Amino acid sequence: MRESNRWRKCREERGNLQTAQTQERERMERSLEAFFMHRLRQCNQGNMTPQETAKQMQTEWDWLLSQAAYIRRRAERSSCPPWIQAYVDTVCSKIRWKSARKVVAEELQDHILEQKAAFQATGMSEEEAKRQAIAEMGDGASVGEALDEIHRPQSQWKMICVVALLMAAGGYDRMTTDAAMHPFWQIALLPMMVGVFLCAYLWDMTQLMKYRAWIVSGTGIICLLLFGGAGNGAWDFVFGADAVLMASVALWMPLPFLSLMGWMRNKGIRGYLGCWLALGVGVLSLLGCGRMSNVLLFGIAAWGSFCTAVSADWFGIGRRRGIRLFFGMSLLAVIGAGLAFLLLPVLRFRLEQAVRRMGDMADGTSIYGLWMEQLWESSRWIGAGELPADMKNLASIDWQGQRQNEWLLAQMAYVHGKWMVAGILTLFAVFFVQSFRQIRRQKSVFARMAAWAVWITLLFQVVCCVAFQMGCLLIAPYAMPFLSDGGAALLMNAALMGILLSIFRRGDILRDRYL
Amino acid sequence: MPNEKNAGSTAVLLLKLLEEKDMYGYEMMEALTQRSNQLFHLKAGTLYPILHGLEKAGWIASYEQDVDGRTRKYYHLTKEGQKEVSEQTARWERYAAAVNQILKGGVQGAGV
Repeated sequence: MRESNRWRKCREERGNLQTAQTQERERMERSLEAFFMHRLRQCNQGNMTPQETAKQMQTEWDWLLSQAAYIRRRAERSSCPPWIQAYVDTVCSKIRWKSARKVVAEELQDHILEQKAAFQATGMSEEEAKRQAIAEMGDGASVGEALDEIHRPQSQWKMICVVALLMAAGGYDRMTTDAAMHPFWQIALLPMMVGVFLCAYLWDMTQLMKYRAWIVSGTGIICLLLFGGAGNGAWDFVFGADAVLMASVALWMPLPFLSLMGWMRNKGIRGYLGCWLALGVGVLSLLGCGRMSNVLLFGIAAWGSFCTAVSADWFGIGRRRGIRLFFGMSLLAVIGAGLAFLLLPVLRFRLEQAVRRMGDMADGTSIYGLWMEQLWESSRWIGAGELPADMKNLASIDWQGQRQNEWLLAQMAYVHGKWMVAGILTLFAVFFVQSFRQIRRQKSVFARMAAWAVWITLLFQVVCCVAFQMGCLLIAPYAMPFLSDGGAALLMNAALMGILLSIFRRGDILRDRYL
Repeated sequence: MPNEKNAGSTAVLLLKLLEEKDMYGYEMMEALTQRSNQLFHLKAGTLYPILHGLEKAGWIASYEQDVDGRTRKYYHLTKEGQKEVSEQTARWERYAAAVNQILKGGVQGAGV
């Protein structure tokens, strides 16, 4: 009795589906006819001869019909028939990891349809073929349990250990060298970072795509509040003296940019140019906040994920055309930025400041460079170093008990020993190399875009910091993930690392067509 | 028609099929049945857990293609999978040779 009730329900659902499909087809045909008439009017207004008009309309009509036929076929295939849905639901209900269910369901559906077609080819009736095809699959619950054993999130234990060591190193260094930080924050920051990291690790980053409209609109409003005032330090307008807290905005801006790119998927040249516009607006807005490293951080991270999108023809403008356009526009942007820095007084001043920093002493060397050189030379491999007496009395920089990103690693080497700096840089190298390999294995374009944006954001900070302390003083470092001061930057970097590992945790189960 | 009992040996058979060309699940099932003269008949519910397990182990990789308006998942043998197939084939040949030797030797021994 239960079996016949189930089959009656399936038949009812199939009837409803066929009615819906018929209505959809009729609606599509009405839309096509209206479009056809509209194009005919356009051709007449364009002074085409009747023969040219007829030829043009025939070509367009044939193309539209082929598209409609393809879409209809795809819709019929992609909407799972009820007689398959029941079996697939039984299997998928046993798979605890919800992200894997769609992929499994799709593959099983394809197999059942193939099996049914094979049975029908042997002369079986449609109903008998369906029953046999389902019977051939085996017990749904057992299949589901077997698949559940295989489809689990891929825990990133090795990478988590690397992150934990970096957090611990940063926490230890802050406690032992930062006299300015309140003891409460010295203790509280570490568990806060761990909490933020874990939340980001378990977060479903596809929500960047799912709630793209909200994210992009919200970011637009925040940027308007932050940068809506006039001139430099515009965010003082809202945040006053605490405006410096929002300096980490460059760290999270690549994420809404990703949402925007998600929104512009398959929107053609409009979507592509829209993303360029957003990138330009983001860069110009950050230019007003006072840090060149912020501008470069967002610019390069966003550019990296934009490049991934263009390479995968995300916008639907053609891969080769997109790549040519992209690199052409990138070159123009770089030339434009260079000219702006040379010709605009306010930007030239900043460039001169940066260059001056590299040689601000009378003999052409830099005070920063001199100071860090002394710190490195006075450091030992194990244990605290000893500065020469004349350098200890140097009053121009009072570094005792202060941590600055500009000499963070040099100070760490001086206080704890070079072994600590070597260890930390090794951990970062391991993290970046392993994550690079995992990013390349991602099948989903959106996952790759997100991963590259986060990876470049983290790498840029580390490279900038290390380069500055090696003597390249052109760009002042913003932060060193987990090591430098600034609660907002620490928490944001913890979130970014968590997001990166959450992408790897999903493995290759993500499909762009599900987004 | 006996069903497969050992998932490990079935896995090797599937890897061997993929050595020739990329296939999708149904195609592999049919190929296995035909080439074994109907001896091996894999149910789809057994096939896919094995395939997904092989993919997780890194011995095969999958990709998707649009076929007649629907998406079909194809499987492809990786380098590690190729190595595994070679090792398992060599192991099976050693095993089969040893068994044959004993059986032949058992027949000869009985005649003495």
